Amino acid sequence: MIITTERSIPGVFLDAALTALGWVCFLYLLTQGVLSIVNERPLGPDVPFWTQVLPTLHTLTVYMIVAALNGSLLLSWAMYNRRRFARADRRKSLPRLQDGALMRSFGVSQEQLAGLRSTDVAIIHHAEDGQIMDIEVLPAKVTWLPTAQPPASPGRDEVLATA
Amino acid sequence: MTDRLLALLVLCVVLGSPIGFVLVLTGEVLLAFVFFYPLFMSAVWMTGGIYFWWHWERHWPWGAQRRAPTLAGEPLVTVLVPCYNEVENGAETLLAALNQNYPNVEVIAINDGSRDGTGDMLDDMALLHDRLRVLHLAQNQGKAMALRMGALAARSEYLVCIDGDARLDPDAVAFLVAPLIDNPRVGAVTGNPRIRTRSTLIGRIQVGEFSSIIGLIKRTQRVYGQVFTVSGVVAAFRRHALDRVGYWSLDMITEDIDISWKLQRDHWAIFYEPRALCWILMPETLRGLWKQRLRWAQGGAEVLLKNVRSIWGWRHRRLWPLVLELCLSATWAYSFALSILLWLLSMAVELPPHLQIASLAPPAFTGLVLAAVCLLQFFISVLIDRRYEPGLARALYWVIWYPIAYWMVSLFTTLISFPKVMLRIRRRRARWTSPDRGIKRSRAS
Repeated sequence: MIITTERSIPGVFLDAALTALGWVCFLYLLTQGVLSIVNERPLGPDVPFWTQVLPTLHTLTVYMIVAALNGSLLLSWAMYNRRRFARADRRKSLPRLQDGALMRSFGVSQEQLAGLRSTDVAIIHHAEDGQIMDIEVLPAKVTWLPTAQPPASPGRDEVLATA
Repeated sequence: MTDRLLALLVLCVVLGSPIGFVLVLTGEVLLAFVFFYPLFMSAVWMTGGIYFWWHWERHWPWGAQRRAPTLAGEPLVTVLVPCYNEVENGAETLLAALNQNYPNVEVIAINDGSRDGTGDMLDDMALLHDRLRVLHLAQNQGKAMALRMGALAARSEYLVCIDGDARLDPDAVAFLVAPLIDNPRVGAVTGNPRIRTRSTLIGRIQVGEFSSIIGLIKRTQRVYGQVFTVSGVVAAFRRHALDRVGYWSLDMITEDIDISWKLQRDHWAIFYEPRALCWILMPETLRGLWKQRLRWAQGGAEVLLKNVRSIWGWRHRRLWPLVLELCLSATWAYSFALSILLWLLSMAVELPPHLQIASLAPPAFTGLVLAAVCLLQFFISVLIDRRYEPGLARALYWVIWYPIAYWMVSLFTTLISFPKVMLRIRRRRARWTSPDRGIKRSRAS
């Protein structure tokens, strides 16, 4: 199922190298972050551990609170909806779409709809504004010939030849 | 005229808010928004993903124990496959649709004026397969029209729509249609696209993207209750719901985003079904990826513009957070661009102190948190998604580029697409362009 086209060795190597570089940059960001925390903390034998890490913890706590707030808003909303609509059908079951509605929506006649449904192969012609001009129901094998584009108003002979 | 003025207003707000932000506050605060917004969104996506897994996914048997749902009444299901120049991939797509384990399936291939022999190929296949029907559109009309014609010809109330180069998993139809049968309020179900093309870095990065970002976003939106978009490549619809909202719009560049909003505005629910797997081809070149993402960004902007006037009624309040997210993403892109501009100007001329941006790198501690959050997001997505794709963890070696690639592509496509859509005079009919489906294949496993 997976398609892996064979490529030149330099191309594959370049992809792998670029990605390795990406990971290096990524780890650099991580390391820089840790180093900046370590370097910026107040130092000295008399400074208690908690005082050293408190600014970092404070910033992290703000991030965590914002994330938790986002998450809890979403979850509260989801749970509220589940509880509110647990036993309620929010919509009545609609019947299958009737042919009349379908014909009105597409501007086709009953014969055209019946013909379209009964055939295995059909050709549909449209006007410039998208309205259906004609539906050709083909009973047998056809050879398909595309029209020139943009079309004028093509006749049947232009678009197909029955084999 | 009103629409034009409104579009200009939206553009001014999105473009002007970062400028106002920096004038009232400082350049550094603007930069903080640029770095904290992805963190903020990441926290939301991870929470949503974990909740979805905890509430639903963890109870589902997987691997050899996985069983497809039984569809009550065994109704006929129609699979619609719009095809434009699909002579290379169309046959295997149709065979995968015809060979579903669920037996009561008809497949309609809609040849949208292809010029490469797709029509002949479909006709030949229709002779061999009883359950395959073929509609030829005399001229190329675009995907939305092809889908509309399929919906008209379908004999079923349940429509599964896939792209002409996508391969359905054998149980995908059953998984997609079951929620439509079991829940009268569900108008559409979106499936789980998995990437097949993994030859280049661009292809491999997207494997991580679809798990780590798109999968988590879809789960989060499902937990919230509104989905920004169904996957155009694999989704199921209730025809009655489509009829109520006027089917797919012909003038929207991304018909999938538009139909999702139309259905939800009519109070139809959209479900996400991760077990409905569909194997898809994606761009494997930077150019192809750029074109695709630009189209997606344009689609988002078009939907915003289309809905911005009428979405503020109380009955549409559940869609407001999606509008907000869309606007914030656009504002983020322009904030980033303004930050870069101020940084460049700071190097060249003496700016007032509050406008100066000394460095574009994230502050050290923020960099650490960003990196840690990225790793955490990858880890969570692999834990959740490995049940759908064994060996997914191996693909994550390549995903390191994704945070940069995702946000940068998102940045540049938004910068271009937003003004393009807002300043356009009239929307035109959306037609096909042949997409990049990966580099030429020579070996498939």
